[in-house]
Amino acid sequence: METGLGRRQSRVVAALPLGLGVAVAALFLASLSVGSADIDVLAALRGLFADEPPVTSIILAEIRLPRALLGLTVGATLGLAGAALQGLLRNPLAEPGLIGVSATSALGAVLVFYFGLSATFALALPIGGIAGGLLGIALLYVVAGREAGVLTVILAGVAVSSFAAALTALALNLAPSPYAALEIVAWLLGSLADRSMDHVWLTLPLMAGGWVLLLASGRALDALTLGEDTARTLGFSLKRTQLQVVLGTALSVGAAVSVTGGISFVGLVVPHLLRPLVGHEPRRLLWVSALGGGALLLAADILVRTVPGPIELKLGVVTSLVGAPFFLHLILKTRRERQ
Amino acid sequence: MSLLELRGVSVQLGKATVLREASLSVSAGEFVGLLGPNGAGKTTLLRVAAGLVAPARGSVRIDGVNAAELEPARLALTLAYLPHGAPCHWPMPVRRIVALGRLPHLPAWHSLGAADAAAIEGAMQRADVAAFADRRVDLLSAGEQSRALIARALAQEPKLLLADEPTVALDPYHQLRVMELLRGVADGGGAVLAVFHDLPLAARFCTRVALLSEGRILGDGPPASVLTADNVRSAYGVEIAREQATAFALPGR
Repeated sequence: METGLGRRQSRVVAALPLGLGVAVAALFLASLSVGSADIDVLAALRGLFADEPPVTSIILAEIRLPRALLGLTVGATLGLAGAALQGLLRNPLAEPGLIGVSATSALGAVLVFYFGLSATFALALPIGGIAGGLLGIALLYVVAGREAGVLTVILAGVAVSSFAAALTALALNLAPSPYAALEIVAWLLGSLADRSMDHVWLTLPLMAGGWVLLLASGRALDALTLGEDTARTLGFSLKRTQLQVVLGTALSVGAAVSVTGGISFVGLVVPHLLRPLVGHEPRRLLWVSALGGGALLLAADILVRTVPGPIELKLGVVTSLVGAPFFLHLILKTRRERQ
Repeated sequence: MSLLELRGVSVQLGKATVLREASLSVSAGEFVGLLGPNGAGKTTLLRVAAGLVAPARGSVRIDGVNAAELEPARLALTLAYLPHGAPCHWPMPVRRIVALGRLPHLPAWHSLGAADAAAIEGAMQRADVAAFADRRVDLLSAGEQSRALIARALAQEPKLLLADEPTVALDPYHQLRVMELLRGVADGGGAVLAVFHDLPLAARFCTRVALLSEGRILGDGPPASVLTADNVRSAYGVEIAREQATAFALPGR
């Protein structure tokens, strides 16, 4: 693959996935070893295979492992979906929430709280979120129509988002007790705490399906670099690519939001940071953004557990606190470049 | 057999009829210049030929297959389309922009192979962009960008090359280089259909020209027989004057 960039830059491109992979593995292990109990991760892992696993092994397998796995998969989903949407729209400011599915997934989970279903069985919450997400896709396509252009899909996404946000606010407004309202708000802030392996098994197939759709769009996203007409004469239809990316985002991000609540800015910031390191190529950006998203969310989740204080910070609060100033910086930088 | 065959093609864009009963064919070995004043329908005809616009009436056959039934992937292996002023949305290096021309030849999930690398290098040599192959495309001049995009189309190795005003941003030296290049594509067994505004340049290099006016083909044949004083006056409203055997366009009366 010496056909690409300058030699120095092609070395960066080659080393980047490896470097990110190592970072993800290290952060994954770190995530397993962080928590209130002091656990030797390797000893606890060995303990899992004992006849009577010690309590540290059980903590590791049932509390920390799902948390680390969800940090990795949700982060990867957000990074990948952000990169794919930015490629589709050829706009570095696009992010996964744009198509409205994050908002409808959140609404689905909120309704589960509102009607008190969350206490009936453990998976009610993510199932409600997934149902909300799927409904969001359906609504998006009813509003935008199947032959919609990119702009129409985004406008439809904004409309669907606003409506879902309004219904979420209504649910808060009509919440039967202050405690219920607090429970809803706390969930909306976004967190990976106290999730189980059931959450992983429920969402992984949907996320994986979405990943395949998004990763398979890489060549078409490359072709779109030269505009819609050239992409079509290179053999890629915008309509099909759009369907693939929107559906892939909806499946994976809908499933992610249904277990974590709102986690913003990962899908915006990660592809943007990594883009120059892959020579701005949309296809190469997909894989590294998935790895980068996983690394960032694992790191942020380690941070919320290690910052001392009486109350654990919510993951979504931390990503927004870091992400929003970055977004401002991005806008200022774009403005300077245009002038 | 002709690589491109348009028969009685009419196109309606909004309320305007942009092409009326236009027929044109291009065969291997031909370099056809598509001429005509602004708004004559040149770009629309090229887009019809590229399968981007479906005509309201008439038939389009690309390499013997009805354009409406042609698979996009198969179309991409037959023709390359070079729009006028195509955007480069990401600031990629020139070499990677040229490499996009290999996408139709690249199976899903694959990376570029040795044959692709050779096609990319060859295309960059022919379009004279190898000197700035590693520079970012957004930092080049308009003429350099336009040559990089020509290299992208050449890297696709199409049987039929459709180009919309490929010489427009170029300096005189590179205008001649690109005309020689397109003629070379035709002489090598390819087919080229390209829009030009420079009549003498087209007359000198094209094997055939087609003159469009108000959506109709006014003339189609060897340059000397199409670019007659009458035809040019009727299409452009300008007179042709010859001084020292050089043709110039002068404003009409």
